[in-house]
Amino acid sequence: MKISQKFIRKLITLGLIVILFAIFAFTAPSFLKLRNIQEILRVAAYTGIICVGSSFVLIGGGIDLSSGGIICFSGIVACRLASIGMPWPVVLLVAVVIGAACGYFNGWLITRFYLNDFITTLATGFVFTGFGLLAILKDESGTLMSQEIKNKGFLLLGKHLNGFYYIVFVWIILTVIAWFILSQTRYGLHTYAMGSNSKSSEMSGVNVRKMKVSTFTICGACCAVAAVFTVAYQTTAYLNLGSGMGFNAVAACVVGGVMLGGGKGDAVGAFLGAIFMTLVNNGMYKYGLDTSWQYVFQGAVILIAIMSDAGFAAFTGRRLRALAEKNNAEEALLEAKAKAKGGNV
Amino acid sequence: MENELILRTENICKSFNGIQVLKNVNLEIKKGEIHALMGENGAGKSTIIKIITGVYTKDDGEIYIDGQHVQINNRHDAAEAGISVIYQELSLVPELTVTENIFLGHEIMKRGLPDRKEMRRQVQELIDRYGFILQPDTLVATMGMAQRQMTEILKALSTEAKLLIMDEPTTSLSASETEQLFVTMEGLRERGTSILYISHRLEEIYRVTDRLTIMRNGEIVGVVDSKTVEADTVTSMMIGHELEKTGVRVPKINKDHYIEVKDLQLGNLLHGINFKAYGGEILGIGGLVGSGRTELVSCIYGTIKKYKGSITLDGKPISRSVAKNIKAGFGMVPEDRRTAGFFPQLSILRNIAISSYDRLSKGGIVNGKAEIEHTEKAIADYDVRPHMRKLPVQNLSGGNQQKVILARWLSRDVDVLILDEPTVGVDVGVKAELYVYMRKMADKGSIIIMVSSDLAELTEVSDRVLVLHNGTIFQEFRDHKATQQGVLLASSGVTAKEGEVL
Amino acid sequence: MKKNKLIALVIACVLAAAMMAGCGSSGGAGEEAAVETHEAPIVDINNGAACKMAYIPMGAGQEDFPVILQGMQEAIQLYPNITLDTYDAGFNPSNQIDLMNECITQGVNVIFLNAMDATALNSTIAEAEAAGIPVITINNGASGVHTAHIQNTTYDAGYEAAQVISGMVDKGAKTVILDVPAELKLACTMGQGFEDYAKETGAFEILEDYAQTITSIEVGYQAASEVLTKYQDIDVLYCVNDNTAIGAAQAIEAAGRQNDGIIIWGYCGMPAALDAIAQGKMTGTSYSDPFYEGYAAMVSAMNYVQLGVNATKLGNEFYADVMLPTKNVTEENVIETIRGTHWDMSAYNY
Repeated sequence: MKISQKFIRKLITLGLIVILFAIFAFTAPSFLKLRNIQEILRVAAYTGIICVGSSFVLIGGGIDLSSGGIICFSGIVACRLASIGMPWPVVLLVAVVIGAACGYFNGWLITRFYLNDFITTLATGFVFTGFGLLAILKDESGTLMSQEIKNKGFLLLGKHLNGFYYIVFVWIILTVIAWFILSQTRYGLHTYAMGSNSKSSEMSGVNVRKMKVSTFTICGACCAVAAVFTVAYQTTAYLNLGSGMGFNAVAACVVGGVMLGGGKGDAVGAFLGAIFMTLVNNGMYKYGLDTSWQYVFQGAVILIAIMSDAGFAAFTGRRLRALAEKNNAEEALLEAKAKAKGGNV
Repeated sequence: MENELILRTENICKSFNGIQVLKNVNLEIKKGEIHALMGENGAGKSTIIKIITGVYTKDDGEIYIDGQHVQINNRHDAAEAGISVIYQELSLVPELTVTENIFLGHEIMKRGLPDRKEMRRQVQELIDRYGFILQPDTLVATMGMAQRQMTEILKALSTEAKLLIMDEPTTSLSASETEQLFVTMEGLRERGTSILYISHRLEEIYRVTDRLTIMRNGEIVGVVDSKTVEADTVTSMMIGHELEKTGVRVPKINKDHYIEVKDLQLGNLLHGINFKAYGGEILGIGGLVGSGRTELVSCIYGTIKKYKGSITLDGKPISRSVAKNIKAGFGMVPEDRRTAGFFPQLSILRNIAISSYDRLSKGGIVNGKAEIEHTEKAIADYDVRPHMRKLPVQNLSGGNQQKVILARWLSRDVDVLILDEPTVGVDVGVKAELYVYMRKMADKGSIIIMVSSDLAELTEVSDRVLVLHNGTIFQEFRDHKATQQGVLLASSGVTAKEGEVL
Repeated sequence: MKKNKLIALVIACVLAAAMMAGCGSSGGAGEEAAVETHEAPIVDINNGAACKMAYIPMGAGQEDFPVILQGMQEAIQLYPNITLDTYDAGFNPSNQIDLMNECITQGVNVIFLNAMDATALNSTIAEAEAAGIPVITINNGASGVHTAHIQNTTYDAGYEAAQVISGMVDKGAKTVILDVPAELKLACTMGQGFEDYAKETGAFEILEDYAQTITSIEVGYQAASEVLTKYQDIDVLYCVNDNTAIGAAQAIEAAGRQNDGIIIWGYCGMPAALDAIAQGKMTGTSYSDPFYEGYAAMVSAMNYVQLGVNATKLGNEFYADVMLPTKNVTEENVIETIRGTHWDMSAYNY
């Protein structure tokens, strides 16, 4: 039985994770502590939930860099609502609606005005952060107030069950749902088709504009979920909540085999990518390295991951081309032989 | 009579910005026929197709399908009416399987989820019914061009199309793949499907179609029986005047000016290649896509550098640097002009001058006046239309784009010109012009190497033809002895005697 | 597709197993169980016991970070058994939280922190304290209980600066305060100190308390330019930050009003400000040397670990709030200050 490419690609990420894990486990004494594993999962879940949303956008051939802004805006709103004593389901719902609306706005802008995703979401990211600034608590003179949430029910979202934070469970559930949608439903099929070849999908009757808007909406909603749980953990929201998370999530997805440009990758890959990125961050702090070297190390490991991805892509590309050429040649030979025979008769 | 027609259009008219592009077009296609539509670029072929398929809306006129009057306002209406289009650029999604592609956009659902088993079953049924060589679960990315085309056709058939429209389906196919497609088309005809076939290649029209409608300047100028009509008649109807025949000529070969390739080896793509190309002749290189043709010329030009063996120009080894080769007088018209040939957003001026800045600039600063003079002369010499040097090349027709690339090299009097599929997507009139320019270059003493899948072009234009098969030179045809059949067989690794007609 | 299912399943199983392990080790007694409370251990650093400390500034780009660090290192010069690691949070509270967690996991003995947000870090600070790690905040504090907070005076500095300036101008001098960003006003109260002095004595007429978006030379320049066109008659620009003051001095120069005798006062005593005072471009600043903050923080930390105390041990109440005084530096004493400072003055010729 042939092993699918997707599977091999995942083995690469998994392999890198195992290698890193082994290195850290042997060289950094505090790495294998239960608390550290819990902490890795918590941080990975924050990135990972955003990755779930980002993977929809990326597979559909887009990119969303406004995730940070959406997290900031929805997180601050969640913080305000929780502070005035709203029960957590209401807070979560409102935040998700806001996140989804932000995502919808992204998608609408991009499809309605035929804008470039990259620049558009970069810009809307600022806009959403601005909305966050508007929504944040201030006193009469306009001084920003750091607001500590006292709402016990809401703070429960940031707590853990035997050391495993609720956000981790949410992450796993969302990943499974995303995997199901992407691989088992018509919507998922159309997402891949759109990312792989948007024009032919359109010609096949896929409503590409609607699909694109919906992927951005999903991404926005996921960001809001991540934001709510993070705010609950940190007991407050602040202006640079979520800053840099957009890029982080995209990088994690790419490391996990979700292709920039669309059509390739899946939710499980994004899941692994998030773990990988967090692992790199977590492990490198253990060595007491100089700050500058921490950055070099972090960048180098991500580069290695992406290089192995590129190597793999080149390898499968060659394999595909070879297969296609072989098929071409076989067809041609058969045909010519048949024809030569027919001609001689 | 009426119910023999699958499609009838009545006085279709269409204008863009006040310019009438279609004038009272009455197109009639019978049930179960392969009907060809020909015309030069801009004759209105694609406009009428786009109206039938609902991409454009007509200004005036009626459309009848099966004798029924229908309104076609969008693609969906066209599909409902049973019209399907096989696009020029294949519209398959490479990351999906055959089944997924065929049902893309109209998946069979079961309890809210796509019913993969059922879809697969239906695809298998279709494959069996039409006798295609396909597997429902193959990833499109792993398939050859012919198989992809089949998938495309199957996709159209899955929606129970009564009329298939094929817009230049053979441009990306090699000769034998084309033949395979024709067999498929004939099979469909037998089952009663009508096909509207658009092509620039006359030999294909003869080979496979029943009737032929010719358009010129937005009007239908004639409907003829394509089995009996003379080629000259068709071309003169298309372009409105007679074509000059190039005729057989004796090339003035200069044995002292040559490129010699010795023991060329490139990975497992090319091995043991030995040949000489002389000044004054056009050397044709044939073979299937993937036989190493493009790699061979890339080695000569210098875009591929890692080859083993020697390539010499007049006894001196040539450089492996493209820039140095251009300086030494090399020129290259690449296969995929859209991606490798021209700069779509840049003007005609820049596209022509781009390779000549070594002559048009001093100390790195471009001499604007010389640049304009150079380009204007080239535009006039090679009749690039419109004569507007500032126009971005993406706005030109395919033929004129090709002329721009040719003009880029010809205007600097290249010594060695390599052409890879120079006339793909170019209409008959322009083709003939391009051949004349190539011949003029050769007569000046330049070495011209032309790779082509177009058998007619290969056999008629080249003075000598080398056919590659699996990375080696399989056969050489000298002195205009190449025949289309012979080249086709050699491409597939079967030897035919020179000049033998099968 | 089947492979995917398999992978998802495997991962789910691994995670589930890990969770079970978690249940087992912490006894499954609910959410409070995982926060294990430890006494702060006593580390006998004078007899060579190893001691690991961590310093988490807002980001590596924080201006006084190298000088604070220098002060800390000075204090542990004779203690090779004490190691001090620094981490870059990139000016993001989330990163600071992650780094705090990291330090708790590593089991460091002391954490120094410049908190980016007064609230966001509270829960991890509490966790650290619960784990027996004293948390010492420097300049930028946190509202939650922790072992110590060390900073230079802000309110007093503003009040004292106002006193000094009042001797230079007529009563009722027209003054604009170029204040910190709105969200920092609670922590940085020098503007308040200045205003209170003005209210008490009537020495100044405060035209405006201008809140800037961030404190930088560019923003200071813009703010001062704006203020200078808005109010033709200005005697004093009280800037709560040296960068703002330098920007304001540039704005005055650009407006051609350097001879109007406008008083520009800053806060901090950074190299560029000391230079500007020596050049006569700025009137003065409330000078402090972050070196001593670092030194003081470290000396306190060494005391805490030797005694094994932290906020938890002291019943979640102990909260040492150390205020280091500032020094008013003007043209008269600037050269002697420059000679004695730990700020890096190597870019200037003194």
